[in-house]
Amino acid sequence: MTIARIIGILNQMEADAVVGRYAIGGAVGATFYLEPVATVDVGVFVVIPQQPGRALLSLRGVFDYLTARGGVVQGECIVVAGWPVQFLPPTSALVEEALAEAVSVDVSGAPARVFTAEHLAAIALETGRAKDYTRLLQFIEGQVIDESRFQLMLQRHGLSDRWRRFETRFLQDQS
Amino acid sequence: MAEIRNEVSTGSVVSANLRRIIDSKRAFRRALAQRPIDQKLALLDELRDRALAIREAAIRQKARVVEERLPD
Repeated sequence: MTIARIIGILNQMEADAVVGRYAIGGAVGATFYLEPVATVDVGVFVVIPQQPGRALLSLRGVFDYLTARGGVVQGECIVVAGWPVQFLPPTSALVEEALAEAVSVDVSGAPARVFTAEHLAAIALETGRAKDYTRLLQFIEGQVIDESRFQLMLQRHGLSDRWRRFETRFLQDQS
Repeated sequence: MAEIRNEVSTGSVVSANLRRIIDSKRAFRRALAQRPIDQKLALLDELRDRALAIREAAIRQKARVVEERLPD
């Protein structure tokens, strides 16, 4: 199973300090809680170690590490074990929190760090594309979110109004 | 009146069947969601292979249509 191989590689990258901490998000992350849905890449959120003398964070170290081990750069992704993997530094306080609070799940005997269901749902609401709303609806229908934890998260990250608009648009009058 | 009664009862049957289909799909998705993570990730591999095959077939089909339309 190739995603299991990717998880092994991610764990090794963390051990080798190529990344500070990683967690799987996006559609592959959602698979840990919901039914599998077709996706063409793996989104991995990472803490990038600050390089001395550089103000901006760079994924150069990640790409160099993986290409030296057979990875092939493809646009913004790098193809590892047959899957395009997109490495994403956190771009919001919500994603930073998701990365810090990610949980470890056993996959074929190896630990895999993945965002919690509540964080995945909140990030979907924050990102706000049509496919993100589809995923959020799947989380709600699947009843895999702790409601009170989710609402507190939305309040903490200024997403309550956006949630109310989402509720009005997609969840009201469901009979 | 008999026609209207028939239409209403047929409509109820259709709604009941549709409800059964929706419930059955929901139950199937729930069962899939509850599978072990290793199985679900293996399914992701298969779903991706299938999605790529469909995409490539669509690209080839488009190329064939363009070729057929080009003037001699």
